[in-house]
Amino acid sequence: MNKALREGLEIWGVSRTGRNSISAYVSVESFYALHKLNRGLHCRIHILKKHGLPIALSRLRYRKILAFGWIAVLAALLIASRFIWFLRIEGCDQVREEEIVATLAEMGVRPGIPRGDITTRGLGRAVMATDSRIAWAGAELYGVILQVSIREAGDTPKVLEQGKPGSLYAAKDGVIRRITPLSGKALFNAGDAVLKGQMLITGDLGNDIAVEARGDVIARVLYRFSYTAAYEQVLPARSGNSFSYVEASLLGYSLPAPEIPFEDYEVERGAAHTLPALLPIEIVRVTCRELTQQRQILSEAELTPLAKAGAQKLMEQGVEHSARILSVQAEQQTDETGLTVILNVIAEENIAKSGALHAKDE
Amino acid sequence: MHKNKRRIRLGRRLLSALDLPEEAAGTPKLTVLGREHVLIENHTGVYQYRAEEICLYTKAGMLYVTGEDLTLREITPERLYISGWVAGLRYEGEAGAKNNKKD
Repeated sequence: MNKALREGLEIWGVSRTGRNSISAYVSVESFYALHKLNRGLHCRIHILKKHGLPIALSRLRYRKILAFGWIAVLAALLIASRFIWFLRIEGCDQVREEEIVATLAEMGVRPGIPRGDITTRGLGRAVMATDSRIAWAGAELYGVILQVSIREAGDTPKVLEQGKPGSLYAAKDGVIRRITPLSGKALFNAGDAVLKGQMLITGDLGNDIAVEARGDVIARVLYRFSYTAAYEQVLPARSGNSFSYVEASLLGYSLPAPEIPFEDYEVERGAAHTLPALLPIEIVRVTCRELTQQRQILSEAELTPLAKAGAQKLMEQGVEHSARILSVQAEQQTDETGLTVILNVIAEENIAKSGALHAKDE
Repeated sequence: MHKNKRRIRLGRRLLSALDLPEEAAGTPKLTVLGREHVLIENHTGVYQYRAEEICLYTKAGMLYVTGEDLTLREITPERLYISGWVAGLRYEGEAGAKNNKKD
């Protein structure tokens, strides 16, 4: 070891592995030099393990084609990385991706062109200039990917045309929840109760200036719907006539049913019987009972669903479609005529309707 | 022996006059880090190496490093870095011990 040190050999990681043996790390150059120093020392040198770049490269010495292949692959990768192979378009909503790709192609930007030919800043500006729907465009290179990001311009605000001067009036009685005049002057505040026909937003701004009043007046409106169902009702009922037939079915397929001699009828199906045969034929007795319109006296319990359904139908017809129903309260009354269901509905809706500029003109 | 001691004293005075550290004259410098690492500078050779004991030539005499699983992690003509479990360090013999072995 001392001799090796004096010769300047690189030795490190020396450890005892046995009574007469040590293991150590040496560099490739030192290993060859070690053999010369070993002469006359009666020591044996064995290689336990070889690792490192010189060793890996020395293995390739006899595999020239493999080494050449690796070099060729690396060179190909290096060359390929100098070109753009993919286009990525981001932020498209109204403007289609194909349109951007076509615009880029017109500018000569397409997969396969060298990266160096592209100026990202200039490209963004050029894309932005091609379409008025694009508010901003930017380009960025990510390796072999060219990413073009665009931000579309929002919808241009609609310019309302001024029409004939007028005011907004209450279409219904209600309590104002919110009043938003877009043009004109509001005459009420939130919380005020208004009657049908009262002016809500005036188009007369004073000093002989008149505009067409516009705006929303959201108010709570009370609706009341009542429906009376008479005790005597004409309803379909069994006449007493019936028609029966046997239905046979096999694996879900049944024979066509005979013609039923009634216009309106109820169907009753009996219990299914399976024939004791190899085939699972199912036999069912079907009875059709004729129904005719008959005058009937109904009980309160029978009338209630009828009256409720009638009131519900009235409510669906009476309440504005745009209204938001807040609450529905049902009342029930009976008298000699029948059963009455009253629905008290509180809804929130826009009650403003256009009218003349001044109330007296209305 | 006396000649050696005189030479050492003279060397020390010279270093002191020149404001140089003592190890510049080849005095061994020992750096012990915990009980696991020892750095020895200015050794003049390895006399004996076993996993339990390493004996080194130094100008201050034979230096024995005792312990367990001692490994020479780094070894150069001037420095020696030992790792393992160090039990002790001791000098033996006269100052000026030299590796005169021809190997």
